[in-house]
Amino acid sequence: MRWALVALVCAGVVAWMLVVLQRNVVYLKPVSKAVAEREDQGDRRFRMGGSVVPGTIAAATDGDGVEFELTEGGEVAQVVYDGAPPDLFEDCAPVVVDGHWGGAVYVADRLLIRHGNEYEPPTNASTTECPRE
Amino acid sequence: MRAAIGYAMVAAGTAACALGVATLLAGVSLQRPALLATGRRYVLVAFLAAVGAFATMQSALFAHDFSIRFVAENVARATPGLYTFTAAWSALEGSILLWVFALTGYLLVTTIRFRARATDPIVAWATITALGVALFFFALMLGPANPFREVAGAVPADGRGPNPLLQNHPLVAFHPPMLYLGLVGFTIPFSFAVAALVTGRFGEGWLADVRRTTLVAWGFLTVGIVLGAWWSYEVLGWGGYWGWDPVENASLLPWLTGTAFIHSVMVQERRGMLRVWNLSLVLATFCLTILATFLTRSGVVTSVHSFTESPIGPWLLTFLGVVALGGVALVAWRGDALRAPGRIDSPASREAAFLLNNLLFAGLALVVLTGTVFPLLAEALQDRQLSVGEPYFERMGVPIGIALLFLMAIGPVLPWRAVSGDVLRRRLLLPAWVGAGTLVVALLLGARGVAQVFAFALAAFALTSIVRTVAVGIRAQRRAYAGSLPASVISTVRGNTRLYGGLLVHVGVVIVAVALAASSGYATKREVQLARNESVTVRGYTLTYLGSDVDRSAQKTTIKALVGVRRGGDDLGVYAPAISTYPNFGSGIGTPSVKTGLRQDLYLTLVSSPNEAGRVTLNVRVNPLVLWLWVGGGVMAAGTALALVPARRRRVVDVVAPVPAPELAEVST
Repeated sequence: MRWALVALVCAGVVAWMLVVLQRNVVYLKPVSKAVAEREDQGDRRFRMGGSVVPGTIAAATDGDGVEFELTEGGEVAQVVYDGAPPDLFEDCAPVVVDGHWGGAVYVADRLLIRHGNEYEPPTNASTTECPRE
Repeated sequence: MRAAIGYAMVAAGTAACALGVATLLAGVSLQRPALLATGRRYVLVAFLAAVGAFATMQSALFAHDFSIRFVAENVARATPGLYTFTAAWSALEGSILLWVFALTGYLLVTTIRFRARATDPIVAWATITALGVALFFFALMLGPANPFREVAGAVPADGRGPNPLLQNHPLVAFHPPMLYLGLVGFTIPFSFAVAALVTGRFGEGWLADVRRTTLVAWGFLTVGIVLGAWWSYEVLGWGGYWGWDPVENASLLPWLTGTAFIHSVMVQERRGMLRVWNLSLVLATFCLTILATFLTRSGVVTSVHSFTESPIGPWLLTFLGVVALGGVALVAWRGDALRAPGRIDSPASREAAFLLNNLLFAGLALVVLTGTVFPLLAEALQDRQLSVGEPYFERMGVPIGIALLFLMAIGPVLPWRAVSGDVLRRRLLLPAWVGAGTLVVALLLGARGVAQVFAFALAAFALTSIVRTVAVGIRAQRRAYAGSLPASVISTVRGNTRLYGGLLVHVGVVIVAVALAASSGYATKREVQLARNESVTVRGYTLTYLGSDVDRSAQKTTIKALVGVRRGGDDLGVYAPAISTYPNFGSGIGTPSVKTGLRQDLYLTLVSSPNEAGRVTLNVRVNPLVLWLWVGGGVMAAGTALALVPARRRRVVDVVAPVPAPELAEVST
């Protein structure tokens, strides 16, 4: 009887933990997947990863922040970010944005540059094509 | 040449471990003391081989011997001396080398400590187990993680240098070695636990054997974790010190189970209970140290620490599986024989408090483990990339932390077996009033946040309880023996270093808890754009952007924003948050500039360097009480060191007055 009670309490605590876990999971999706799942996603939060399409970075039309396009897997997504982008934010930068879909545009409130740990030899990359990863 | 010497050292170490294991196994099974005496000598050989390999690596790093791949990848001619030295552990292969160095060192010290008991089967089995672990790590360096692998093709003229994050703060020289000394140290208690299970002597003897080593390992791990948080705060520039990053969690997990073990050991020593539990905790702690290596070094998690992708992941996982299954099998095999005598008489007793403490620590470990491993499982099984957000860890962890703080206040003053209401009232009334008073004062001062207010109140409760216990101890000492106050304090503490060391660790925990609550609850964060000579005021600090400055050296190029800081009428000087770019690494990294203070830190990061209009973007944070996190960590380390000092009790002949019985009963543990 006592053990049953202990087991019940433990099961309850574990179940509660899993519920909290489920609520706080943030998915990371590459642009292609994010675009494909735009309908189902609604305005739920997730992270999106891709690289900045060269020549698309522009100051946001309203107030602070920037607008740009992210690409991955042949798909392109419009992104607005309402903060000042970090120094390393530039054409072709590998970026992860944190936010949600607002219609056809992804609204980000956090912008991270993925740190490359790999050796990068100096390249004479053309300005319109990103070097292949 | 160095590659050949280094590899030979690794091979010699591997052979020494293998021979040692074989000789000792033969010695125990044939019961030949001569073999046991020979077998343990291989420990010294393995240690010397590890020292030799480590020295060879250092010599290669300082000689810029780029024919060795590890050197070419982790050091450049322009790398300063300190970071050339620390480059030895800035990537996978070198950190395995450091691991083996530490492990054979611990093993050597243990062998020397137990030299008089070399023929004792429990010591022999423990040596076999620890040598087996060392054998595994040596063998990793023979194959998949060979630090002395030569470069393919021509020898490069210059190397790449350490990862930028690992060459811009001196803490890199301390954080990883401390952490490793902590993680590796738990191999010794693990080995004795295995030996206890194999020999069937799982009474209290093995616990006494490993008590000091466990404390040493725990102390190093504590310092390593605190230094890691400090490094993260000073280097990564996101303004915090703990991000529930998988690799941070990986070092926390063995600390949680290790802390549980340090407490539950006392129940077994005193009452003979919790045998299976203690063995399981030691096995789990060791498994978690291996898991930590796996998470940190196999590249399975994308994190600031996974500097390398490597082929050792499967090896570590297999090893982890073997250890975990082996441990469970051993415990199951001993089964009924492990059933301990004695039971808990009352829920209001020291042993019940320890049991609850253990459940909470184990629960917290489960929470952290689930949150850490869940993304890996989701990716492996479902091919979905996800992360577990900080709110999960906070919502689950904070209540457990608060409960532990409460237990810390009452646990140490509960007597064993059972307590009377009278004793409880005498010991807890004052601390409880102080705690309640703090609660009221905090609310009156407008403190926000339920967790924060509770943390402050319970911290005051716990601190008063600790101070009262110490005061009672000193008073009893002064009644019993004549002497000045300082002399009584010293002799009281010396008489029971374990108790007072433990209480000092608790004081450190109180400090850390308050600092955690304040810095997580009351930080101010603002992002500001400033033109030259423009000012902004954030929480009383007036910041003026004075201009920028560029430093170029062979090691790095640094852009600094010079920010004048004033507060009230005082000029606090010029601070220079910076962004540095390193040759050979595409992305630059930010370096925060922190004005540390007793009450709060001003934390500046440069988000973007001057644009065409000459404006910079700064991230400004005011973080309260962060300094006290590091102070608390230091106090915890000091307490651990105190607990390691052998206790010296006064001889009975010194007694000049009879000792009041109840007081003495209270302070003796």
